[in-house]
Amino acid sequence: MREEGYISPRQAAVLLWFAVLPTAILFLPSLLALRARHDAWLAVIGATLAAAVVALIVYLLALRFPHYTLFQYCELILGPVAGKMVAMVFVLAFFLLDAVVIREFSEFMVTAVMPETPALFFSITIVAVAVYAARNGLEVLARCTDFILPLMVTFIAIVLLFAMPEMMPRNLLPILENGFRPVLGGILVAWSFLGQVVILAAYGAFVNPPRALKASLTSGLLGIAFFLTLVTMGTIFVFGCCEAARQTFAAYALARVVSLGQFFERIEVLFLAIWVGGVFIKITLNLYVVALGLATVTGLKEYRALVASLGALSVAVSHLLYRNVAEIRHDLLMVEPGWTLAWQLLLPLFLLFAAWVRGKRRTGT
Amino acid sequence: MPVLILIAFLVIAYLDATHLWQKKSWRELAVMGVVWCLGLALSLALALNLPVPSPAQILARVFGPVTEWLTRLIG
Repeated sequence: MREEGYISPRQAAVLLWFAVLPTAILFLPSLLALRARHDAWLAVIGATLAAAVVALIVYLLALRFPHYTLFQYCELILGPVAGKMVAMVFVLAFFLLDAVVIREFSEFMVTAVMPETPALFFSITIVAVAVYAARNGLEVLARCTDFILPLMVTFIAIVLLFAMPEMMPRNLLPILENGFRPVLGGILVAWSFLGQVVILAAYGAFVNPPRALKASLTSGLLGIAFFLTLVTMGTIFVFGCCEAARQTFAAYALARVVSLGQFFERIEVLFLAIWVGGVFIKITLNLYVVALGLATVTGLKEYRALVASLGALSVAVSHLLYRNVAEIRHDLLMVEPGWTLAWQLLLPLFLLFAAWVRGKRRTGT
Repeated sequence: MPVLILIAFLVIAYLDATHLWQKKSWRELAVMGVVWCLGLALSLALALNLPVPSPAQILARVFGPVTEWLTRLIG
């Protein structure tokens, strides 16, 4: 099943930013400070190189099957039975990712901002909006980002600029104090966020022309690496690696330290507003991909009817997943890297290899 | 709480399923019904505090050792 309509390569790149950045900015800096110490920013760059491998796989698959989604070419490559099974694994993985993001969002709101409100309230409200947006299709979502992106970029710039008086570049030294091993450990943690660029395989079919996918993947990855490195460096500059590792939400804490001349203060509320917008795009994109994938696997003509039910199910699953924010952090450190490596790198690599061996391609459609 | 969940799911069913019923798209209706039932059952089980295994725990059991091995290997 594929939907009518196309998005431009630029919009695909921006959607890619939103598919990775919102939760990564919030959770990654402190986890990286825990693993890679002062060299956290090196780990971000290393993980980007690892994600570039995924991007290359996605691009090569897209060239073999232009205008086909990930779930469609699973079946084209592996045949109807095995293909549907692999496609279903992708659908479940994206669904689980969506539930994790919803949980991360509501857990952040409860832990850091509004401790008296039940977490269920946050997840239900954001999923209700996401369902509404996902039903309208990818083109509408892509145009939503045109509105949210300038705000997000401006705000990241404002936070980093005004936090400058608190920054101590000395915190970054010595570089590679304990050799490369801590950096590699950091790459493993950062990978589970950056590997999510694989989502472009699912909606890349709507990018026109298909060859332009290369530009979207490159600029998408570069943008992600740029912002993530800046924010990670900012937190290390301001807090130093030990303090940054203790903060659960280091980027939020960074917005809290901004204070100019006793009147420009408490801009973390602004951070919150923009960040909620970003997470909304991320949840909607995942929900859309899940609905599209499920519709493809079961052979439906339309995905729209599935979105609301899937949204309700994902709220329930998100509340089942973890008990508290400490468990999320433990999972991101100790479970997610292996799991994401399996479905975001090895599974697409297997698909590409199978397509190459069996000589499957669909060019000229 | 269970009553609220039931109302919410009935609203979803009313908004989505009636449309599909009129269009006679049975396949869509069946897939949606399965997802809807799963969601309703899970939500009610959570609201009634029934023990449901968390998917995160299942993942942790399988991929926890893998990640640990990887971390020891390179990190």
